[in-house]
Amino acid sequence: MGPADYTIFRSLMITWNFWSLVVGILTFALLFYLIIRFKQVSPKEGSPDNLTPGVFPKERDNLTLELIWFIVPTILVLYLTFIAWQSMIALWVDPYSEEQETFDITIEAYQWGWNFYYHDEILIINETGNISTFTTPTGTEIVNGSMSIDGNLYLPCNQQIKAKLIALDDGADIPVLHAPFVPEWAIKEDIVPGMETFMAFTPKETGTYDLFCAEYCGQQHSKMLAKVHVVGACGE
Amino acid sequence: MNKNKVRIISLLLVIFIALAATPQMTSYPTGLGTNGNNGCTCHSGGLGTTTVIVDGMPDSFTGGNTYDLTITVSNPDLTGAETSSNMGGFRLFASAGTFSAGENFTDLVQESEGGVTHTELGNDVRSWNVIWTAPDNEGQIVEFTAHGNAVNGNALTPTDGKGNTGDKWSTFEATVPGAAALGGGAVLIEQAEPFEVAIAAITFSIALFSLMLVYVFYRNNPDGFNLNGLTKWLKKWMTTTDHKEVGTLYFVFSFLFLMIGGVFAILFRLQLAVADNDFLTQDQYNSFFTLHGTTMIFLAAMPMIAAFANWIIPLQIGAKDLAFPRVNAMGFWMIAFSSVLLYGGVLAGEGADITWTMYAPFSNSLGDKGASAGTTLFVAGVIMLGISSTLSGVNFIATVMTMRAPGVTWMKMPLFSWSIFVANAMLYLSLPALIIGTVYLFLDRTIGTHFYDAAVGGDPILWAHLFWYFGHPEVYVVILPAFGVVSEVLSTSAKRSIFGYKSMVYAMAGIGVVGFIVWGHHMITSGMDPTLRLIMMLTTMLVAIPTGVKIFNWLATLWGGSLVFKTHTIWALGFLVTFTMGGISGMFFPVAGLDTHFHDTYFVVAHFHYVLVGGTLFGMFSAIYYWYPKAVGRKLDEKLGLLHFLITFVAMNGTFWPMHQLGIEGMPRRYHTYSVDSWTELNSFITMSAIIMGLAQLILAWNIIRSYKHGEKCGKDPWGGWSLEWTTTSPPPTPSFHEIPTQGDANLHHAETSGGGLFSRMWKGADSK
Repeated sequence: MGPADYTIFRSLMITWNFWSLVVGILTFALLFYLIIRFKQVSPKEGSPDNLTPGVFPKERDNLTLELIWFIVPTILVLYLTFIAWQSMIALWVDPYSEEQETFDITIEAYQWGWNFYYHDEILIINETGNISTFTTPTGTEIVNGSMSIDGNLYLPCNQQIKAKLIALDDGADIPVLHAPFVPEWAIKEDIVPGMETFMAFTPKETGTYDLFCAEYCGQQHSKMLAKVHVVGACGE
Repeated sequence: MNKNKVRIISLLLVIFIALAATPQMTSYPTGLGTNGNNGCTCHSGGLGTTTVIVDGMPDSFTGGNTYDLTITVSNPDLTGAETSSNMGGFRLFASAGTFSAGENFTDLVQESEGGVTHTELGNDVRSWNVIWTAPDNEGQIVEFTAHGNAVNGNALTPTDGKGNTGDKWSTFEATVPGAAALGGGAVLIEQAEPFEVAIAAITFSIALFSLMLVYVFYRNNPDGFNLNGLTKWLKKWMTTTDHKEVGTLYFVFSFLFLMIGGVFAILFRLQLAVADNDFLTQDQYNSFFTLHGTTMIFLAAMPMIAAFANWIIPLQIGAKDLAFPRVNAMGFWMIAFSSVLLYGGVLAGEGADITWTMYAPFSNSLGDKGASAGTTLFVAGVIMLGISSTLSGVNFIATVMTMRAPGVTWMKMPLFSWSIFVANAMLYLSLPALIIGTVYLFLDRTIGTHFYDAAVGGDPILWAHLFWYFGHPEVYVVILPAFGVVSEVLSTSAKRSIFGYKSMVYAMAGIGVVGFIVWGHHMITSGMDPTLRLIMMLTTMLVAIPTGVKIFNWLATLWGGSLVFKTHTIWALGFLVTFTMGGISGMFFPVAGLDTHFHDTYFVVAHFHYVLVGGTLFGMFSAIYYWYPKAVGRKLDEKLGLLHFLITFVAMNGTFWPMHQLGIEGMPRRYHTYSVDSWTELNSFITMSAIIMGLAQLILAWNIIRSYKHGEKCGKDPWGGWSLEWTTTSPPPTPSFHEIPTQGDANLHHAETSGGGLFSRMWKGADSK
């Protein structure tokens, strides 16, 4: 299950913010304490170490202290790496595994816009229990193999989406890098010409979300926008 | 003619032939190198003297439709003879769509570069028919430009009886929106600025620069001012190989480009200040942030570091000069000329717009949607920068390895020298990747190879690997010297030796090694192998450990010391605050679950500006205040310095801290505009802070200029530092030591001696002989 409801991002953010604050506050408290405590009181006071020009000064170290600030950060870093590793396992599913029922789409990027292709139908169960396919506001019925022509992406709620990411190659221009990015779901993956990349995620709430292009792709990079509409019932 | 003149003339000839032989750059219609107004100024007249009309243009076009256009030129003064030839001519351009000859007049109209024009037969009429096929994208506005001239044929003019005076031209311009662009929203994509502006700007800069040079020359010796001495004085600076003078050149150069990069930043910050702004065109915005990034890294930060390395390293390790003084000077002049190449794209119509990371395949794409015309020159400039850095890298490595004075052993070497040594070793090892990558890119753009073009078997990811294999060590290359400066400054200011000297050295070397295996964290979302992602995540996190050791060692240095608050001390303490914050935010990126959000958002921008401005730049500012007395013999003004620090520190945090929030909210970087209104507030605040920060740097510039003549005089060791540069006079003599000094050691009762031979010199320092 990929992140489409921000949960992985949010929980990681909380952990990282917490440790950032701990490290930051400790360091700055120590820094400001030292600045105030050990500032020069009178300008005539002699120097504690007697630095002499041209003479390498007396070395000062303390192995215990240095080991402490070597080992403690190491433990923290290893702990954080372990958590980060867990998020990685959750993030990237094997795109070729057939274990899970997925809703397949293809996102095709060109300079400067998106094409969305559907390989399944969006089935919507209405209140009376009837099943109907979804029709976009412009009247296109989303069925197998169809392409959304109003420039926006329609996704069913609470189904795992498997998006294949490709770059349009019409032979006219060299296809370049793009990256679909939905900030509210914290998902992003590069579209690399000549390669198939995948993005897997599960929308949990209906609504409309912004889709940006995050990888610089030339003049109208900032105009490469689309909306993602999540439709249908989210219940089990 | 003497030998020297022959040499100069043949050199100029070679340059001239090389320039003539290089492939001509492509260019936008208004850029240098095209016809501009396509030769129409050869005709006399100008706007208004002849009427040019294009009929048949729709109010809005439908994608793929064809439209019949009729171009008519008329001029009541030039009626022409009824049966004459040579009645007039035209050229018509459109910013999109294609032209073909109209049905009735196929013989009269032909295609020309980027548009249509008349044939030779078409010279005999004053009205032409063409067909314009609209582009598929209806969301754009198409711009039409027609140049036309009316000729009075072979009729004799009444005044002088000759035919050739009756020839007047004029221009017609119009825009046609696409059907989808009618409702507003689409912005006319303006072509590059006319090249006149570029020429005027260049002439103005050259004039200003020459005036500045003459003024500096005048101030040098106001009483004996004589312009005849100017060329001699200039020649002295242009041919100098003395490490101090080359260092000064590096410093002036980097400061100039720091200002230029800052102006770019302020310009595009104005563009981003409010939502849906159109202060800059998209092309301008893209090339401005490209030039900002490249300028700041390669033309400001690196030369600034090179300036201090040049000045201080030989003094600090007790050498008379660098190992290869001429190579050193060559390195500087390479970087100076590469800056001309980097900015040269402006002459082709517009500067490069490929970002400082120059990601292929966009950077090697040509054509309308490809990278802008100035990119080829830009890439050539980057190759030259790589050569320059290699030269200076090998020079510093050789100097530190073989030219240390007696007593300056590896483990008794000042930390600034250590940092320069590690940084240059990293630079030297990582640069080949960049140079190979950019040479491939250059070949792709010029002779048509396909290293990065996936359609014919090239690999776009190859660029990212090559670039970041260089790019990530590069960021340590620019931060390590700042570490070195802060170590020196804090030790001197606290009046005691640095805490844990050995662990500082090992930490720096550790960063130097681990820094080479972390480049993949820039590519976590690029479809890279998941195992590789995990490895890169772990190694990236590991960098935090040696960095943390360094920060705690600095803090322990303060403990029990007697901290003097000089300007350079305050900058070093400011460095500790901002660099720590930048270091902490760096820990967010290797985490896959966070990076899928943060990659290419403003959070990244916030992080690396905290590290590069709050780290490198603050460190370099500290170095300016710390070593200026050594270079000039006068101190910088402490009050101005404090003012400079306070404004810069506050404005710097005001500029970059809100970017974290924008990143969390998902604002992508490199966006020309944004439509999310809730981002406006923070962006306006950032823009204001950025302007204040830019203006604050003028205080430093003024301080440096003013103190050169009016600063407080100082002796050999104004701050009480211990390393060898403080044992010589301020400013130092040339060569820097008349007699190689010997560094003492407070830990020993007798100074260490060293033997001859390269090997023992490498390990123990140079002999005093």
